[in-house]
Amino acid sequence: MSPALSPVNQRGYLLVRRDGVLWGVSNDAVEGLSRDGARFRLRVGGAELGVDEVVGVVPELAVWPLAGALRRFWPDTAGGLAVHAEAPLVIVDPQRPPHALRLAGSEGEMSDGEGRR
Amino acid sequence: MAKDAAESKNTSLTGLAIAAGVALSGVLLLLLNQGLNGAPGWPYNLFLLLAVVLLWGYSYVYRGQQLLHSRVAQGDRVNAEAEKALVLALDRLRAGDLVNCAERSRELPGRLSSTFSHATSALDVLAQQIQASSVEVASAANAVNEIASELASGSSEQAASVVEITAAMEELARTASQIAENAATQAELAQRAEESGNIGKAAVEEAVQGIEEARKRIQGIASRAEILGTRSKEIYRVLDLITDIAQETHILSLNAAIEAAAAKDHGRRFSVVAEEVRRLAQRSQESVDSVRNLLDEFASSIRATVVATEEGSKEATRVLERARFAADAIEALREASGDSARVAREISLATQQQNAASDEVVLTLKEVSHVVQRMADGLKQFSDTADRLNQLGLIIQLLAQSFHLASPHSLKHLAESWASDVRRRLGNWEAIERLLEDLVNQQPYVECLYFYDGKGGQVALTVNRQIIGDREVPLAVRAGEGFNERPWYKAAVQEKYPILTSKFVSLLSEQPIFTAAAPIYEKGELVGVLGLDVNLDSWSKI
Amino acid sequence: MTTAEPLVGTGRRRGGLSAGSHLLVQAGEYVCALPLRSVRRVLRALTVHPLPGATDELKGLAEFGGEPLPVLELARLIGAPTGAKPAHPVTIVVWVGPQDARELVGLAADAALEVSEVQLTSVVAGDGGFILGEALVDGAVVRVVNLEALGGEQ
Repeated sequence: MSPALSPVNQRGYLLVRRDGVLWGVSNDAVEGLSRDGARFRLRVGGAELGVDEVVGVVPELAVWPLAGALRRFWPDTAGGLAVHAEAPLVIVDPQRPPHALRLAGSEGEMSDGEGRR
Repeated sequence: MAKDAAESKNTSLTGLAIAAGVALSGVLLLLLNQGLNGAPGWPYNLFLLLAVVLLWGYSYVYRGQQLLHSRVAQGDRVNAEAEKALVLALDRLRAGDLVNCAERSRELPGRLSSTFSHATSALDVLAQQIQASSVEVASAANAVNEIASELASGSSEQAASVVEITAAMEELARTASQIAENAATQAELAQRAEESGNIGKAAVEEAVQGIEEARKRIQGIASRAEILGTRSKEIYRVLDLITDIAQETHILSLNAAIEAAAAKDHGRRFSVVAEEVRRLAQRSQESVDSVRNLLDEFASSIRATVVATEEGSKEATRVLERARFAADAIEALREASGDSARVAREISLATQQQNAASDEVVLTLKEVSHVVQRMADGLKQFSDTADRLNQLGLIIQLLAQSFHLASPHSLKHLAESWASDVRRRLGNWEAIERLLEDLVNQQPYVECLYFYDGKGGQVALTVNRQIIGDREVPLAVRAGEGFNERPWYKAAVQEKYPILTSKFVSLLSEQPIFTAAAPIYEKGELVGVLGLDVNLDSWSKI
Repeated sequence: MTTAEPLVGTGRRRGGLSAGSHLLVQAGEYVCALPLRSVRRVLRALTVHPLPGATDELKGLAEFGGEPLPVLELARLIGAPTGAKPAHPVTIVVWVGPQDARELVGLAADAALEVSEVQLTSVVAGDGGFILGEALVDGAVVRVVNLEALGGEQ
């Protein structure tokens, strides 16, 4: 374990999946969850998010902050990283929901030039 | 009669002389005898008596003879007249002129006249029957001649047809013979084909068995190759496992080196061990690679073998199918060859029989041809005979026409009748010409009708256009040049009665004709001759 | 089956590990040298989950020892031409960044070759990017990776 990185145990996360990537949203941050056809619509921080699958709810997760090297090559916003069932997942920052989960046509596309090399 | 009377008189005189001589001799002998001997006198008396008797008798007879002579002379005179009449009648009879003969016979005395008349009547009837029969005979002979000609012609055509048929049959027989030869050859070839088919079938069956065996062996090889392939796959899995192990060992050695580096001096010996382990992993990997290469080659060979065996098996299967197909085809061919051979043999036999039959037919046709030819020859002879018969019929008809009969068939009678018609118009030449034109149309066999005035040399002539067509009548004929020298004219003048000439070729129609001519007399003087040319062909058809 | 592994050099050790000890790895057609002190672990290639919107250098996230681990493509990082398909790809878990802010990052490589000495004095200056420089190891050119430059944001 890196001394610079320490897990932050938080409680109650909703695990969702989109485009093969596993995301975790704090239960407290979930403002709304509804079906959207075969998919699901999630409202977090006032933003409408779309997911392909609702995996489930976990009571707690060990969250690590984003590594600098990761941020360097991935400009999207996130609240941290975690592992569940030996699979890595990204924690959603409810203040700044990631562009990758936003619905098409909703506010904010990932701007060009952020960290792309 | 006169001769007989003279002879009778001479005989009487001679008899009288002889009787006187005997009497005188008797007297002399008596006197002599008495003078000489005084012999008995009865022979002499007898002789004397006899002489007297003779003398008396002969004188009686002489008187009778004289009477008889006078009667005979009278009779001779009657006989002479009768003879003359008889001669004239017989002369007409000789000429065949039964009409005038009957007239002359009336001048004969009594019974002779009636008897002669009866005889001429009977002869007239007979002659008319002969004339009529001759017409029928001539007609029949003509018909027979035509039929014979047709038969001869037909027979010749038949003979020619038979010759053609014989030639065709001979050609057919030759063709049949060739066909028979070809059929025999075909049968032999079919037989060989059948035998070849049997051999082929056996060979194909052996080949099929061989291919089947080979296919089974190939399948066995393929199975073993497949087993080897499976084993090699297992070896590959083991090699992969060893490779994974080697790789894991390699990574382990690296991690060991890393840990040894982290342990610094404490990890030095550990790093050596890690290095050895890495080398072990490397050698293992190299061994695995070497084995993998060998196995790759082996697997490649196995694959090639499997592919080859599969291809071989497929090819063997295809060859087997083709071989079976060929076997079936050969079997069908063999059966067909057998059928063909059997049919060829039957055809050969049939053609041989046909050939023999054709030869027999040819021989028969040749015999028929000979027979037909003999028939044709016979019919030719028959036709010649019929022609001669026709000629004979014509001759008989002409002979029958030599009789002058009171019959419409008698040409002499016709000529005499027409001459009488002309006589009644003498002095009116135009009337004579009109008469001739009318008369010529009455008898279709009269080719030309003419009246020749012997003194003046005039001729009235008319022709039958239905016979001579559009031919021009020569001017000399129209002028009558030389008519008085013609046989018909001279014969008619000579006979003083109707005559018939023999046949000759007409200048007008260029066909055979004969002429019937009748002299015309006026007050016992010849004024001309009427002639009518009879066309034989038209007359015979009538 | 598998292709032959290109091994560069024989990895001869000269009197044990020193400050010049590097882990030689194959990245594309380049052989890279990673300072051994910065290498945490050599692993078989980890299962990586790509992140949407990431650059080409970031393969994605993996799990290592119960912790999320970003995995970078070493060949893309150093601009190495693409080589043959690796038979035994590996993930090298390394410390990146400065000493006081090191982070664990995974580097995806085609193969881990050996530990070898790379004389630092022979290192030629690099392009200032992620390659520290080039060195000769047993006659072969290796590119020394600047792991400190990988950490954090520039």
